[in-house]
Amino acid sequence: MANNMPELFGTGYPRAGLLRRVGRLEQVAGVRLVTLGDGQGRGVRVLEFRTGTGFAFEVLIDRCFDVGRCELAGQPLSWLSGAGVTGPWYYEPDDWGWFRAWGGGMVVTCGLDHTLGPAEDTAAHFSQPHIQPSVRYGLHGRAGGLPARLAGYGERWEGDECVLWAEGEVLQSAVFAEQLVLRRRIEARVGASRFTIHDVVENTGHTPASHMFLYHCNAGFPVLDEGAELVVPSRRTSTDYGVPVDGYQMMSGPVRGATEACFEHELIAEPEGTVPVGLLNRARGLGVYQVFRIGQLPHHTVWRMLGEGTYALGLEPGTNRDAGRADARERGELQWLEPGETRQYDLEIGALQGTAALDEFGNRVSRLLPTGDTADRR
Amino acid sequence: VTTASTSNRQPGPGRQVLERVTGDLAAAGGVRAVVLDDGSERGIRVLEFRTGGGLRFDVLVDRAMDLGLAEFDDLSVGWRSATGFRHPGLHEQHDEDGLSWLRSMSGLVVTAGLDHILFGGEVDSEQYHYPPRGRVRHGLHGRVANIPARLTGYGEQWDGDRCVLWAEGEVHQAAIFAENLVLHRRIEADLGGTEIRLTDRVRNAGFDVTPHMFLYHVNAGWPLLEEGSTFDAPIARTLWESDSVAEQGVSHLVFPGPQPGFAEQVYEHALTPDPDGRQRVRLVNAARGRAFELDYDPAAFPAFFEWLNLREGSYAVGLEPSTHHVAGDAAAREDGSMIWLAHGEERHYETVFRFTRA
Repeated sequence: MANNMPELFGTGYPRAGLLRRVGRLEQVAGVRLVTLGDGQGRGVRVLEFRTGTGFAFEVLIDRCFDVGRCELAGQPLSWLSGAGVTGPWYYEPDDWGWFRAWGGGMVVTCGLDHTLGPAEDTAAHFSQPHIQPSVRYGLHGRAGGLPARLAGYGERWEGDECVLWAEGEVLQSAVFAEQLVLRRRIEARVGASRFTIHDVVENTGHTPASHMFLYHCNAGFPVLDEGAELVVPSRRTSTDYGVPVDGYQMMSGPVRGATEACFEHELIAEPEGTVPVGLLNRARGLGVYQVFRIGQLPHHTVWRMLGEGTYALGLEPGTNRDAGRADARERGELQWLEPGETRQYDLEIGALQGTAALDEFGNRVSRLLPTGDTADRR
Repeated sequence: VTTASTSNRQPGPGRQVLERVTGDLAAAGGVRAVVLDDGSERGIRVLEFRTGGGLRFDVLVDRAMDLGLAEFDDLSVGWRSATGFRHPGLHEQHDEDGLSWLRSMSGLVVTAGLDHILFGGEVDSEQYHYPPRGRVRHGLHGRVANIPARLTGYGEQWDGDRCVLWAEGEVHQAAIFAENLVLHRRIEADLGGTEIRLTDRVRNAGFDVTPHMFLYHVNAGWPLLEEGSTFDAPIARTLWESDSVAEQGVSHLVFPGPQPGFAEQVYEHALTPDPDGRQRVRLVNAARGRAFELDYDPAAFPAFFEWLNLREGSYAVGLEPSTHHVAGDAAAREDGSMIWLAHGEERHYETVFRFTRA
């Protein structure tokens, strides 16, 4: 398809036209498998994606096949925490241990049987009450600390279109407990500054398992900076953190002694069921966005942590409200997967470059807002 | 001594400013050690430099600490040949009459040396006092590019509000009854900066007087190089050119796009140094507003070659500062220009690779 040929450096190139100019595609784009060679990350396998537009991101195979660093032309889009990329063997899943090995990054998967705050819940569905009557869940579940099986990766030409791809499988399982598999495919197109994640979660066990799921997508400096604006199609925005909702979408610089706050949105989807959310830095002409499907992930929370040295904005579409597991149970919103049952999730993440692209995305969101532009904030 | 490095330093944001907005300096820039994990590159240690100023490049530790990938803003600059970065363990030093070097050649900077550069051939080796090998056979551009380095250090060093990303290593080219030369290499880039500083020191660690030849094969590829890109250099005169220049007649100053069936065109130019004693040549892509500058010491590198390889699928221009003229190893021994290093004697090379926006 001629109209899908890679657009690079302002020109569309058919396959042969591109390959006349480069000895191998990786001069401009490709997927490279490396292993981190030092520090707490040593031994972690990483797939380095470059799409040729200056858009680069990496897949942390041994950290749930999540997406770590993400940047456009050397400008970071993602937040990296002080913890850095940490091998899964240092992961501490109990209580708040998640924070000790949370490197930040563009997409961090939370799940597969639990997300949000630590909780304790029944283990009755596993039918082994003499061993374990209840399950203790740590913050955001175990998925983010699990290594994946690398099922494949590479570059594939489809006519004149070139797709960079990777597939992996993450197994969360224990004897007498859940047995859930996350099968993930990540794709990016040469010439495009975005990637997509397609996830299938399956209960491969023989007992029912609870299922909660959330993408913790983290924007950082310099796309996050004073004056950057969050755009989200929200009918009503609320917070339990005792801070004003008014003006929450405009970012400040780093604040000494800042306390985190979360804001929850009542989402308005596009007619196709997609929800666009972005962080737009108009002064820099740089933005980062996510698009997810409301039918798959009906809830969305923004994590605002604009502190010194921990300066991040989390954009978190999820299966559940921010109040977490007990609240979900009370409301009857906690999901269960029967043996063999699956759930699918789709997420797109991309970069926005230049005023026109930022305005276009801003308009895409504001079109969805109730007339008069201002949604209910409280 | 002129130093390469004092001009054109961009001040980055101050240390505290950066640390307030990043939990990990790596969010903005830094040096990361990885190991390539697949294909013919598997096992090669790489240091990934990201300056945060739009410049990203790889140091190939196990390939003489040469420079592989190099990108500036959204443009690829370093040429990537079809060979990939082959593991040095796969290299065949003497295969194909020494042209096997071409099976492993890729990246922004490929170093040639340490005791031989340019075309292969056989020369006398009486200086090593080992009669069974009175002569030595050299392949194209010598051995050094396919020797793994010992990585002696790397990291990020703050000095007040300035942060230098750095790496140091040693490349040892040695054999019993033969040369024993060590290349000490330091690579630097400023956080927020757009230049790479390469400082090389070649020392004769052996006790026989040993020949030394040295050349950087600096290779730019698409899209910095494309139709209309220009070579900007103070050429006083062209000392030599390959026969293909007359046969093909493609300009060495303004480049065409990839050509079918192109035969390489090679030139040796005499260049006029800048008033400060440095030699600067540039590849300019005016349409994209980007340029790549090679800034070297002409006292250390008295010769310079321009290599046009504008063929389809292998589209590159090489800029090659060299210790010796095109006539090569044997001629240098005859005309007295061969560098003979006594034990402990050294040669120094300070070079800057600069990436600029118009």
